[in-house]
Amino acid sequence: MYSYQSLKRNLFVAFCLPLAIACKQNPETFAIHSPISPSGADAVTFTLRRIDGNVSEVKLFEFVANVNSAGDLSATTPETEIQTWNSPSFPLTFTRASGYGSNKLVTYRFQVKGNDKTYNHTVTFATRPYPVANQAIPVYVVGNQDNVLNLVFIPDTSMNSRMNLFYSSVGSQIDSTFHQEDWVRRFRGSYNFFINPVTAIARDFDSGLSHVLPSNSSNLSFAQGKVILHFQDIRDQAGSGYFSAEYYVRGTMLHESGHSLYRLADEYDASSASHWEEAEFPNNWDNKSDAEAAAPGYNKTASDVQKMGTPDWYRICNNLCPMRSSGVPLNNYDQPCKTRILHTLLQTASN
Amino acid sequence: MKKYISILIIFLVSGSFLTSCGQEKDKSKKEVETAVNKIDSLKGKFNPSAAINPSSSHWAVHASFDGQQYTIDTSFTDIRAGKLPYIQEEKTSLPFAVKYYDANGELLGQYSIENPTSLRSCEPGKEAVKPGVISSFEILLPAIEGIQNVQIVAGGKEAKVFQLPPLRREVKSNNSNDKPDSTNVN
Repeated sequence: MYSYQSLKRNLFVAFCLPLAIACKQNPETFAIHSPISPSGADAVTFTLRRIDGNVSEVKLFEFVANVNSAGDLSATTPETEIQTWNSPSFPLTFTRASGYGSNKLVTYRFQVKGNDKTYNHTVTFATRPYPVANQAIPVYVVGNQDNVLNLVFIPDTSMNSRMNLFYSSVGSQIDSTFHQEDWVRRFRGSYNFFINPVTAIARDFDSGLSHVLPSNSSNLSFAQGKVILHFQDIRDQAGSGYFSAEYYVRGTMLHESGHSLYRLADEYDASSASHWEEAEFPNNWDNKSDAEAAAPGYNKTASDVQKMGTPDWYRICNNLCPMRSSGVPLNNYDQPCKTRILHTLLQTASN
Repeated sequence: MKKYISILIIFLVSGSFLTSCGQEKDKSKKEVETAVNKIDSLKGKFNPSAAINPSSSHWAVHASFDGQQYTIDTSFTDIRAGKLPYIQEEKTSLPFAVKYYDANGELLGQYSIENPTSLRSCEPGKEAVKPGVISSFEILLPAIEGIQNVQIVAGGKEAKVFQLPPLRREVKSNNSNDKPDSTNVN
């Protein structure tokens, strides 16, 4: 008997195939602000970069609200246009030289027009210090926490004397990791990024000790991803829902967030790797015939199926997929991972 | 038979998108835009409020593991802002599953995660998992009415069943910073 569940699953795969092999949107741009977590006195620069396509006009808008210790908003200003670019030459930047003051939640919107299309990048960030005590500080948020994936950057104690490095590293990770991987960037409206106001301690895996969680960890359990950024030479590990990473690594960031955000399994060839087969849209298969049968659904062939480790596990993604590698370099996710990512984003948005 | 039907459906529906190269690109772009627009329409607005919204919150229950068995401290339950951060599964995939039932024994939901007592490190050629290292952890549950019993399945075997006590839904604000190793850097 062919079940409704199976039908639903296969229709989803069929829907995702063209998505996974899709060309880039035309035009495609991405937005960032700097510093990523400004103090009330800091000048803030907004930047829009182009990936592809023709852009005829860009407008930048902003509105600002006061936020109190309970997280309630007040005195929200009307949205105001602050800059227009006609026939723009990229990258576009605008600097708010005077800063926004303390206890502010700032929302900016780049409206982009080109090729008869109009779309927006709407981003919200808080100025420091953030008045909502022991809560994760929004530094690049795009949606309701319940409907998008949430990643919290936590400073390791080794960052205590290097907090400017920590803040700039968070900005770099958003801009140069999550906005550089093609598929994640395409669905950039699905990720909220936060900074934790309290430190943790990243521990070496070989020590056999788990990370020391931040004292406000109970306020972070809403987040699917929690990463302790550190300035140490240790063997990084994951446990208790937290993973650690050197402040500058990009491949590791994608690999570990692949585990925590989308439940992607390892794809590297080691018997000790973490392999499992998701019931829906896996990137690991526990037998070769199933992987070969799935391959055409990802625009692959049986020859793309590769064995991993002992006991036997199988993958279809190419050798450059972030779930096969980590470290500093950044590569794009391959088709099975892309499909799993999209499935997760849609599930999260619609729940 | 099921497998052949699956492949057929995938080919039939996908084929409609792949009639020619140009059409493929155009239709693929449109499908991506459709997915982006769908997500954009559902994502809502960021909510900075620290207050607990009863319709969007989760419970945390303290648990411990002594290397042999799990113990649940049902005297401690914490209600927290935000929905459960795990996707519900029809069939659990990861080694540590949490299943919750109503008073009639009906399954209300389930999810699975990596074993919360283990440490994992991704480095080919080296030991990757240290099992049973973490002795204290939390079990998260959606803050919904009707959960009576919770079942923990570890490694495919039932490891614990416990009853969830009646809970008060109240705003819980954790403004303490009582761990000596933590520093507030805000």
